[in-house]
Amino acid sequence: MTVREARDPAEGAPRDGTAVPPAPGAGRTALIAVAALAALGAGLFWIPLRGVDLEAMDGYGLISVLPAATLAGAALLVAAFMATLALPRPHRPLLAAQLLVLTVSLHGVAQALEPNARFPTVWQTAGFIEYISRTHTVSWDLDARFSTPGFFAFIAFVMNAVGQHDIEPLLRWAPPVTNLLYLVPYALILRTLRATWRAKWFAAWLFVAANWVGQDYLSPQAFAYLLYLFFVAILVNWFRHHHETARRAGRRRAGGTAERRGRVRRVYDLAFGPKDPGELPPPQAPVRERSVLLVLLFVLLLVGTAAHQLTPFLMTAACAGLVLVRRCGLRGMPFIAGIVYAAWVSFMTVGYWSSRKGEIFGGLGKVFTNVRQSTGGRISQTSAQTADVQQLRIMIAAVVVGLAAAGLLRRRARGIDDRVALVLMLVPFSSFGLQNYGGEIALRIYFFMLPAACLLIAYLFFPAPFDAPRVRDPRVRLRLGRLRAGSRRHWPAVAAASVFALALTGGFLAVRYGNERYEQVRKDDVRAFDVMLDAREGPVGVVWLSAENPDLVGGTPVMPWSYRDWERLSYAPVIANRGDPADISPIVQGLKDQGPSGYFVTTRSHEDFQVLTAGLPADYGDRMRRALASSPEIQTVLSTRDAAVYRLRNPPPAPVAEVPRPAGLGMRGSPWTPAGLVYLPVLLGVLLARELRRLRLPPGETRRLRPLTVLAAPLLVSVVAVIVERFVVIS
Amino acid sequence: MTALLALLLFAVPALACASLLPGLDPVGRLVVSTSAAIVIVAGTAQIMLMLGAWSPGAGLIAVLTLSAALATAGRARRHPHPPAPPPPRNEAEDNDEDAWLYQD
Repeated sequence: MTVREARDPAEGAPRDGTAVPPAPGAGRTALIAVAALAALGAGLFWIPLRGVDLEAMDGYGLISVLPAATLAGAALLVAAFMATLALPRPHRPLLAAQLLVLTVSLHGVAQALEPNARFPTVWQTAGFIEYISRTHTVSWDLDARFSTPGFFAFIAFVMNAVGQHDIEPLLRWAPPVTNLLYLVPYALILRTLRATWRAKWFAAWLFVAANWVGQDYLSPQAFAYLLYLFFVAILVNWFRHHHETARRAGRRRAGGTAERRGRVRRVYDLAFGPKDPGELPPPQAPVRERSVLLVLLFVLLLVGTAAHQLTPFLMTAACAGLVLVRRCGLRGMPFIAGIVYAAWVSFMTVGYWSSRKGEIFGGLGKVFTNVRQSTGGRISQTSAQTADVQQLRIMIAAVVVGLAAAGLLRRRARGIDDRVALVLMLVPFSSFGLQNYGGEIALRIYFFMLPAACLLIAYLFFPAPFDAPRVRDPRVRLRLGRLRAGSRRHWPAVAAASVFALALTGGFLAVRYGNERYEQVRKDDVRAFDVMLDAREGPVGVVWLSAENPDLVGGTPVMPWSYRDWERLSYAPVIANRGDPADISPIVQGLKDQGPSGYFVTTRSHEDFQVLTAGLPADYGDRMRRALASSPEIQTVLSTRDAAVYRLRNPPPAPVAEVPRPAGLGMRGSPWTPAGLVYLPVLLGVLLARELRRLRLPPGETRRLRPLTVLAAPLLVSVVAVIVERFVVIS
Repeated sequence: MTALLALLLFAVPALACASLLPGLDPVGRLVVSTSAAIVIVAGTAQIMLMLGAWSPGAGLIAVLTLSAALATAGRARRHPHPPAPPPPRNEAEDNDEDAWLYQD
């Protein structure tokens, strides 16, 4: 097997800087031209944004107000990057700089345009962080997200430690920063692969441009995703097998001597035939370093589990998948990950599962319901424009998955077995049956699929494991030989990739900010909550209008709700009277139910949301506000174009709500819990020691792990028993 | 200024971890140290929260102490490093007496 070991000098993997010596003169001109093109693109993208009028935005979102020059600038940025890929050798600083500019441009454009950090959900993150900074603890009964407070504690700690008290800049600039951070571990994953530098850099580019799902805001998901990428990167870099096997050609039946031919045989070979591994041999590292890395993997797992409820499951699944396909030597790691996850769920999220055992397990296996809710189910009552955006999103996701599958097949047809990419692509689907996740699971799956999908799409265009030689044997007649040899032999592939890249960038700008009409947070939206919180001490009962029953659709106000003083605010929806916006009786009734602390709040973003997604008439908000302002029962507390707050002129004295006191993490006890708290650390210690021992054993000596296995087995049974007991006893 | 302080908060544990990993390649060492710095700071915050001992000042001291401990461990074990062992040979080939026939 020499193919695996031979390192082609022109392969240009980012780990070695020795490439073909540069051609003097001509190369430099091309380089300067490409850099100038990129600079021009960035200028065209950003400079015309000064004159953008956000108020003119329609249901298609930000793209409806972006100037044509900005779109042209984006196209130039794409063209410049693709031109860099067409150069004969990699220019890493130029490629990296363009990737940086692209990330900031694509993921920062709305942030730069809008006066406040965009999109209401990030303001709830601010609320959690503010709660921890103020009370120094959490309160499991206020929100399920307090059960995994790792990320909020992290940001609260960093902000307090460095003396940053205004969270708004963090909320605003988190998306470009997190996307740049994602590229760091992703580069580490890419460098282990057997591919050309073009494929790797294009994959990194795609990873930025295909990430339209908007899970990169300041949130536990974004943070846990970063940890997931680090986890996978360390696994595939330093914990692969010493010599990995893919099925190879038998010596008798290699190549031309194969006897069985034909279509069936070819399909069989594509699936199961002899292949070379799609990964380079793992970099060598001393055992001590690998031990440190193993401990780091364990800490990554712990921190990820404390920060997010879905990601540790995917870490476990990714690790198990890599072990199953023999691309990871740490066979005990999936068990460790699974135990950490199960223990966290059992001990720390009691408040969440104890009250809704049926609901959680009801989601198990209801795959088809999840599919419908996640994709098509979200489009039912929406306006035509918003529905178009949603359709485009589904289309982009489908194209990405389809092209990734095609890329995988193309590599297999070349005899390369991309197991790491395949596992990382398939693992996210395992979470489909797990939990309903508010109908959002399809977005999450796409998000977690992206690292592998981008790679496989890059393979579709650049499938070669190393650069094709510039000069071919003149005796061999190549079909379209002129395109496939010489210094321009990469141009056709780069041209095809450019077409896809341009379409993807356009799609990104359309769908990433496609809901900007109601996803922007205006200054007055925040002010509305300040007005309510400052007007009185104690609890505030916020009444808000929903076009549909929010208990059924899982809705929340589309406002920066609870961005501070989380425990003081409670929410009561009233369902809109579709026929008559001037009918304010449900609102008045809702305010009366809140007693003296009731406020009705509405914002323009919220009204636009109801119009665009729930089919209320376009002037519903205006007519409702006029009716409220003219009603003798209602007093206007705040009324601006963007937000309005009302309360009753004579509110009833009862009921008076209590402000809940911090309830902590809510780890409740059961008879066996103390034993579990002893067994669990011991079990994790034994399993970790077992993996550390495995690193020191020569290959094939794994039976020397048996003492530790025997020790771990009863501990594992005990811990599982405690987890089951807790689940049965606590209700 | 705050950005600089934040950078420092992560750079200290990152450098400490980097000193523990002299055997890795530079890029890998950098990336791994970054991730280690993030989990050290995040883990400190999480532990403070779970123990009911929330105090940013104490957390800072904890991060610094941990970094110092890691750096000390890295320094203590830094002896003249033996060259990396040769990559393990393919045993199947070694056992096969006719293997030389198929090498090119």
